[in-house]
Amino acid sequence: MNKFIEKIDDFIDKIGNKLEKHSIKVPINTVGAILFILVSAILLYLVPSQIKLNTTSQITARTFPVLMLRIVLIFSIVLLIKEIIAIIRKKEREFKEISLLVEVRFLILFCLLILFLLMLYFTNFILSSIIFGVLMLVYFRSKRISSYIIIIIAAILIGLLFQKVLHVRLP
Amino acid sequence: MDLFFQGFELLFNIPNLLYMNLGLLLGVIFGAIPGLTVILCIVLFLPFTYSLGAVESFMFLLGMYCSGSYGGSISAILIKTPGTPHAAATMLDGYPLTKKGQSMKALTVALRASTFGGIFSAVVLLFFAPKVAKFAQMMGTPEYFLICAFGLTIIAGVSGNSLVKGIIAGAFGLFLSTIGIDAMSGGTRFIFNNINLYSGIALVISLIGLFALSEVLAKSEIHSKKNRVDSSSLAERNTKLSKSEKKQTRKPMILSGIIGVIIGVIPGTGASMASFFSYDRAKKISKKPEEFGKGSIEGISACETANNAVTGATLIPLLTLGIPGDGSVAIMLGALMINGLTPGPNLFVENGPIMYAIMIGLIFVNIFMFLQGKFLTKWFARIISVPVEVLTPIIVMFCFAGAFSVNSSLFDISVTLVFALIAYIVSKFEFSTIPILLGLVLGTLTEENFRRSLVLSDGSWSIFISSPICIVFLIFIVITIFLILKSQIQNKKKGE
Repeated sequence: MNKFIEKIDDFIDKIGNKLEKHSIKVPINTVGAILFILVSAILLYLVPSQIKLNTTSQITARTFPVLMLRIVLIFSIVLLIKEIIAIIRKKEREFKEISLLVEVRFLILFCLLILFLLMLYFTNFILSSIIFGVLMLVYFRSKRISSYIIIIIAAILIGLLFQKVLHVRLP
Repeated sequence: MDLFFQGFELLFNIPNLLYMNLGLLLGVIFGAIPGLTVILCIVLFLPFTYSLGAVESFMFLLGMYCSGSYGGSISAILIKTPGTPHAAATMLDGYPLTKKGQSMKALTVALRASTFGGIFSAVVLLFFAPKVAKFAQMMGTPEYFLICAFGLTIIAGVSGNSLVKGIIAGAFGLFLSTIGIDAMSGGTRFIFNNINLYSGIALVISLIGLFALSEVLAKSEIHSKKNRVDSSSLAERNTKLSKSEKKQTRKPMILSGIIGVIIGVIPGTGASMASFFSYDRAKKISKKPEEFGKGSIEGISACETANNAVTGATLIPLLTLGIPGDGSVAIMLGALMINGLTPGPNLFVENGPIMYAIMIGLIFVNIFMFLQGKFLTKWFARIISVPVEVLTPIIVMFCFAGAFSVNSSLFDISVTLVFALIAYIVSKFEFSTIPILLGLVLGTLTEENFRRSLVLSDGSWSIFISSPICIVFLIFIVITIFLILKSQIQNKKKGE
């Protein structure tokens, strides 16, 4: 059994080492600005369909959200223009190295969270928590039996705390 | 004086004291474990306050907020890893004392100083907050809108390395707060025909996503590190300070208490700035400056007094004007609103006894923190060794149960996941999530005052320069922007 676990460990290490070598440098301000320009532009486009008006008044339910989206849009454009000027003047820009290994780890973690949510639709909170907790320990490659026992006990205690003490009807 | 006694009466009951002590216990644990934060602690346990009264809730959260500062010093002293950023200065002298085999002495000095700083700032809060509140009552809706804008400007400017990014994040947070039914017109906004979004996004749900689940996702970037405390270092028996040592720490403690309060009152400055500034001042007035950095108890006293003196001071702008000084206090602002208390000038008029109960309570929070620290420090120190792999799934379980408990809806859990994703993405591009949080917390208040002001003036923006208080706050906003830009340009030049 131990040999089998060691083999799996080696296999994961090999994949990890391969992924670690792949990374890209991202100009964070440029990408961040474009992201917020897109988000604010789409949301501004959706305003008429999402905030319907039945008044001709000057100050309406649209005034504030539209103002905020315009602020996001204008300042994102300012950020982008600063980046363009920096490129033209060949000035130093802020870059961040995004590692493929980190992003794969993030994706696995996020998928585990979604799996936990999906399990709650089909089973109860305590059972879902135990399964999720064990999967998280596997993700962290924990080999200590005590950690697994603690997680199982914690899942039961948290479930009971919310249900019996706080009177919350958990799924 | 009547309000003072009513507040006293309101505070002294068993549930309040119990929740206060529970909050203290949780705050020290979260403060002490590197990787866990006080904000995370407050967010995780915020759903528990739903069923509590205003004073109980606030005592619970204040306990976490105050003891989190002290908790950070435990790991800073024992394993050279500050549990909270503002304990970094404590580490400079705390860890050298541990290496000399005097860790318990260092922890005792930190506890005494933290308690002194906390009580000092609580007394300042008790005396000054009602006076500021009286002044604040002279303000109307345009003034109040400008106060919100002022608070948002400060947080936007100091929460990251770019004012522009801070403003984008803050405005995005304010936009998110508008989702749901508009209280003034009754219409819906950005609900995409989803019935679950009718009442908007509950603050707790967004907070759990932005600050708790995002911490879990951030674990993909760091390698699990084991924090081991050498148990022999805690076996030291003589933890009492000698008379001369007590005398030695008196001066830096008083000076740092004053510095902490002054810095704490200014929104957006924070405990880290207070502790490093106090450390520097204490070194300058010390008779033994050469000991600083090598295990000086004066150094530990200065940092710990200052970072705890900030706690009460940050509550002055929060309770009187509704301006939160940092992320943790912004969440407590949310807790006040959950309990139906709208922060701002009228808080002292409408809920005077509750306000006094909270302010008096802060003094007792610090007294109980001292007692817990005195008897439980050794136990707290061992908690540092709890591995991250065990804590992370437990945090997620709390997050999911907490998010579900708000409306008994699984949809809310999916909303927390969306917020966690937003936090992960924006922090990848170095946008701070604190302005988003503040936008969410202050959104309703800001919009209400903004729209009312414009309705009063028939849509004319001149209403925002119609009174001397408005003009003063506009000047404050301009000065703040100028100072932030100046410091960012200076930092850039230094970097080059």
